[in-house]
Amino acid sequence: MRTLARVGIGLLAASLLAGLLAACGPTPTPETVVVKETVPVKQTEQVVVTATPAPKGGKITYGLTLVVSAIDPHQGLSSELGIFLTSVYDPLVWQTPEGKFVPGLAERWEVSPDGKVYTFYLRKGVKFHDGTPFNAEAVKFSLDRIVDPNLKSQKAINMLGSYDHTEVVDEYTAKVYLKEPYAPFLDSVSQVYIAMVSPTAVQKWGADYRDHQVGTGPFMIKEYVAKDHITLVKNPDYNWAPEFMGHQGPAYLDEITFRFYPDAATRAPALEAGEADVMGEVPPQDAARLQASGKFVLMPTKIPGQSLQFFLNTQKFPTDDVRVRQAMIYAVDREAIVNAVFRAFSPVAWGPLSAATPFYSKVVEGMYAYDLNKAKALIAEAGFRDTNGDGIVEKDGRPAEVELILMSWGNVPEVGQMIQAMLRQIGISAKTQLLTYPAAVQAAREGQHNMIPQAVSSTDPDILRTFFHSRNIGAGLNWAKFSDAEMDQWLDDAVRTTDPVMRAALYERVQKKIMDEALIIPIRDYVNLNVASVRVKGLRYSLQGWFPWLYDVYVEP
Amino acid sequence: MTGDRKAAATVSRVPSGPRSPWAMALARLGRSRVALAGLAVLLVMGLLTLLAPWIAPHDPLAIDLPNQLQPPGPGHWLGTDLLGRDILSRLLYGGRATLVTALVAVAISAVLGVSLGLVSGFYGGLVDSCIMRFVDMLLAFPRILLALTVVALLGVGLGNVMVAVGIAGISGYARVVRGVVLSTREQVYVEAARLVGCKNGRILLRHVLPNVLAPVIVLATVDIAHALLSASSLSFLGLGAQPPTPEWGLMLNEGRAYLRVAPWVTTVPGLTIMLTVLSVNVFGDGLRDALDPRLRLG
Repeated sequence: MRTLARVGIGLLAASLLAGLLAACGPTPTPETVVVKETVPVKQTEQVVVTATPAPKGGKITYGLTLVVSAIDPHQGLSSELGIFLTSVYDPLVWQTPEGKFVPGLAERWEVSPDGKVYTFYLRKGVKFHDGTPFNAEAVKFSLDRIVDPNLKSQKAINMLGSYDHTEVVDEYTAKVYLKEPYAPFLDSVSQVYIAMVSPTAVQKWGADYRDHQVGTGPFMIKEYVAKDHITLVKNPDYNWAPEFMGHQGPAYLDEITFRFYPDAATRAPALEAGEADVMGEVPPQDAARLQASGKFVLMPTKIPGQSLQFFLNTQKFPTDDVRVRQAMIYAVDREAIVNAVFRAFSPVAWGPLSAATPFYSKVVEGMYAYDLNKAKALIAEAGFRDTNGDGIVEKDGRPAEVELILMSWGNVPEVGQMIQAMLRQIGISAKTQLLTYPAAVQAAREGQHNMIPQAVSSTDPDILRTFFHSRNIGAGLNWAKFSDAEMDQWLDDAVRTTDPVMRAALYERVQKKIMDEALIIPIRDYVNLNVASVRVKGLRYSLQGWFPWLYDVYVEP
Repeated sequence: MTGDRKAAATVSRVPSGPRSPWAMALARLGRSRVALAGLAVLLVMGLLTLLAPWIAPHDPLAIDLPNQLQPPGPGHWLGTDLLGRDILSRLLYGGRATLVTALVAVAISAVLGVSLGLVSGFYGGLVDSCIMRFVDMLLAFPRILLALTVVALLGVGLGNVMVAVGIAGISGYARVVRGVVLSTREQVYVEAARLVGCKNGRILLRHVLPNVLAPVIVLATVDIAHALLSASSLSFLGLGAQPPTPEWGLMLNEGRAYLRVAPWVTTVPGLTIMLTVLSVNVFGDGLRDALDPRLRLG
């Protein structure tokens, strides 16, 4: 039976492959007939009905990993809210999987030579789910809402950079003025956090808008039950999909239910039980097994932004000595960690940014490749010796003990214990402490740590400013507590210019400097292991790695 | 042969001299096979964990990545965990942390609870009211919730878990002891002691305290099971033992994510906790029956 099933799957795969190949060029095989029927499907809805008896559609359940509390895109900062709201809102500008900016709700746009004024020429005929027409007033309304201090925006407001105001030139032309040039601006408006919201709905619901969100996207929110589920239904009037999508007109799926699976151990069983059709952040050990079963497709998505990294506190003994910090990076065998914990699904990280991030520089690659001898030599050079024979090195009678703070996300406890054992080999004793996120942030602010992990995703390298600019020491997130006027300057300059060559050069310097100063131990590039049932077709992920494009998705009966 | 056995039986039934209540209790305990089995398991477990440094086949902290998640086999009798650490060795060492935590927690509950109960029952009046209202307050919270609150106040760590579980267990002792003291203090021998001029402290310690020992021992034994479960639960939630310390609850949590791939990482500490708690419970039941024959009749 099993062999038969395998043969069946093999045949299916072969015919699918043949179909794909056939799509590239006409080949006189029987399979092309099938393909010829499906190709026009993507162009007009009419053909779907005539070519195939059952139109593409269906319902799916999508598993989310964290229970989100703030689901207003202008307000919250979680990646989870974007997973479902990406289907509810359209951005002004879309970013293709290749990182190109293409028309969205704005048909075209112009940037003034000084980089301070963005003129958006809007698409006509777009309507919000509640019938409100989308126009320049709506753009102004949405952007002004984000910067309203009463909204207490946690993420969107920072993404707008130095936003000043929006001018409504005419019904379909909006001019956005910035106080100073802000390079990530287009990237920002391509994201769900800068959603175009219906002014009518916001005025109607006020503070309760989060429970009654209205966008222009291919799906509409039908129901939101806090901590339980969110249901989206198809927007029948949708007719403004970007060109890089697989079809035009309304979406295929009739309904999508998002459910929460905060406990990583329950995600694979939910897929296997058929409770969920798609799931994000499946643990690596389960992902491999699900993929091997043939019933699921594994879609590892690279997440741009920070790599998983441990900050080294430059203001606390013994990590205040750059040689000790360098020795620690040399002593941590990243490849072993990636293989053991992440099952080789993630690339080894070399610097503060993952390789999928724009302006990532290869200059950091190969720096601090695992080398125990170099590590030991650096420790000795820093003046540390094991004088009492306990295996821990000392300097001036002070043992090399480091405070290693761990948190329970992203396999950090396992990684932390491996680091602890690896540091022991060069005579450094690491004391581990597993803290909740707020407690860890508090400890880091007070500088109790020598090492603390972090990994925040971002499609712009400006994220580095949050973690390495000296003004973020203390209350902010500069957990290496590193202050360098030159680096501050580079980080500030890099957002004031829109010249990509200039930005690349500045960010290269920053990345090199961070590693020269050994401010972090990079571990792995973040990869989101999405798993979907083989029945789910047409699923793609945006450049941010977290957000699915569900518009083209349908369920194979 | 038969005659001899009969004779022996007769001898055992007719005690040669006056026997102390403790000896009689011990004899009754000896007749409960289940209780003895529980005791045997506990003794073996205690011995194994005590001898852990000598009998553990591997270093419980030694990371050995090439051997990660090995199923039970000749090299590693109970398999290895994600980091390739030997589960048997971690179980043996973990028993120390787990059992000591439970014992210390019970000791804290017993000492504090008995003191409160003695004072409350003996002095009565306002003292009694104050103490008992405090105990009622503790009782109003589910035990694990109370322990969670205390850990939240004190911070994470095994030491704090001992205190937290200890405090959460006070109420049982205080109430039982107070009840016994209330009836004991009206006894003639207490009156007599007072008449010959004994001070309150002496009466409490020499005449009242021995009466509460039997119920307290029973309570403490059964309580070890509760304490062990609470302490393991807190470690499971990441509030107790910190990685890489081997501790049963923590081991249970560490293996949870790999349940489908490597079930032994979770089942081994899980079954161990279950077996220990079961043994403590059956032994505690036997002890209760032995120390308080009335309960058995009723």
